[in-house]
Amino acid sequence: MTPDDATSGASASVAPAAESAITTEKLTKRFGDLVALNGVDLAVSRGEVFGFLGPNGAGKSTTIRLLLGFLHPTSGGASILGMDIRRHHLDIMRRIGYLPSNAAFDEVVTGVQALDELARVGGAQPSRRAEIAERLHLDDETLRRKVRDYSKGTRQKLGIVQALQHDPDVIIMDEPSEGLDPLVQHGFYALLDDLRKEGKTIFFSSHIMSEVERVCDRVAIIRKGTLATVEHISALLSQRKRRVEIHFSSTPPDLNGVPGISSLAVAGKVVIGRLSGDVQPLLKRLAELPVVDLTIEPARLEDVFLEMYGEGGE
Amino acid sequence: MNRHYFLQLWRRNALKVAVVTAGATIWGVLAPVLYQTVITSLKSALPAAFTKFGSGNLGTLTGTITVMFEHPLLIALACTVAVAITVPAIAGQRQRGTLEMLLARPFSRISLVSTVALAVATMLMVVLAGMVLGIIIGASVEGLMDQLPAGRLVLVWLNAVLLFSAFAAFALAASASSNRNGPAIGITLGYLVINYFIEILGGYLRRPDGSPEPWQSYNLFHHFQAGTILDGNMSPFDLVVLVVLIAIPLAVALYRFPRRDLPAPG
Repeated sequence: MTPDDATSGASASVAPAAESAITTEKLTKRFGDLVALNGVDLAVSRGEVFGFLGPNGAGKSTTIRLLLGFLHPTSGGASILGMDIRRHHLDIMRRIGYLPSNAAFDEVVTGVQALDELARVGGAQPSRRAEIAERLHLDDETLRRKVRDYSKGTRQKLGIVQALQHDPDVIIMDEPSEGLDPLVQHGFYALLDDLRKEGKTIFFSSHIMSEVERVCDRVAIIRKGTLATVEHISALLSQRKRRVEIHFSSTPPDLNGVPGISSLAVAGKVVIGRLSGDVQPLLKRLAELPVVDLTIEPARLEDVFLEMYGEGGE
Repeated sequence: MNRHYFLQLWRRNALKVAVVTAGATIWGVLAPVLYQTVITSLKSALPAAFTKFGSGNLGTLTGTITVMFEHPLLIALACTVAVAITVPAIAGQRQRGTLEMLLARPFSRISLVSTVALAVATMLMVVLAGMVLGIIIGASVEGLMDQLPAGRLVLVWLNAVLLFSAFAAFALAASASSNRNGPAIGITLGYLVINYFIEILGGYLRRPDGSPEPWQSYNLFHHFQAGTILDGNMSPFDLVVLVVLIAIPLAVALYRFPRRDLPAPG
């Protein structure tokens, strides 16, 4: 955490769902004068893929480390699968799979040995190891090699396997696709989809917007230790103003007054503006006009994110 | 205590422990051999002050054994286990980033500290058993078994295990309090060197009446008395002091580590 993380003020809050897998209540972490996390309220439903977005130092890893018991809350609390993170730490750990950011293993052992050792220490059967490894293109020959010979991407695959091999109910991942090539990323996203269908809860932090947009049901955006928003991806995108570019065959008409249209600028026969909400009023208006071409760019999570951070003056 | 992690620590360090044990055994063989072949022929020519080294005295076989136990070479061998295995087990894992993966299992921090303590203690038992075995072999070869009461060697072994376990416990407390190997190893070696110099310097700096300086006893090595034990004058007080000096840093590690924040590495 850096001093930039210090913040104050109220956080966005979400009412806990009836079937919450992860709940935090006024979760706060201070390191001396530095407020790394400030009164965060979250409720992640069972069977949900929940994305946790924010730039480096915003408080993503702090939240995850609090949930896992690596850090102790200054105030507030959290529960996982209905169990308090402090009172039922070991019971929670039995049902969790965790992938840290930049997963590290002992260099002197093979991939199989590393997975075996972690499974044995955890006292759980690695019942899904073969399946997960196959889906991530991590073959037996690679697993028999020493970890020190692994590339960054292969280490990340090994990290994902160790997090999932014991078939946990709740999966917590910190930057899970870091280092994966596009082909494996695709397989990884498909794997997350399947895990969701099985009812697993997946909580992961990322700063890759396209990834979050692709796999998550809901997303929380954290800024300087405070929740900026918690929304369904679709709701978040629908609020986003999309860029509209309209080419006319003659002098453009005045489009002010069309519901949802704003920030209009005219350059010759081209009109550029912003569109929010329903597209129908605009289409109806354009149907009466000499339109040559129309471009409405899709709303992207990245824009929402940048907008949110822009609002904060960053 | 986690049985699987205990076995894992042993597997990881088996070669290191085997090499150190072999070294300690050879060193043990040398104690009676050196005493018989070199020291007995020179001791009449040596001034009394030159026969003293720490708590040991080269004038007797049992005193020579004490000197061999307090020799920097044996200390270095024992510290390969007591420090170089203990510290990386927690601080080293923090530094490498592997600790998180381990603690994200149903494996409590108290259990981790207890498991490391027990694994290192058993490794020290093996290493020092090698030293004692070497002494017996050397004494047999040199025909000195009559000067070496074999039954009391078990107590010497226990005394040595407690001595180096006390350093291991200190290393464990330092490791559990640190995020990196370097500071934990540094503070442990500093503690060891201070103890060592108090013992060695105290042996040479004597009062006018020839008695040792009282502050010499304020170090861990002073409570390792192989010669006294072999002479049949074992002081349970020394063993109790060492047990207390194991218990205190162990309690610090068991108390402090679960309460520490473990921020993201780096």
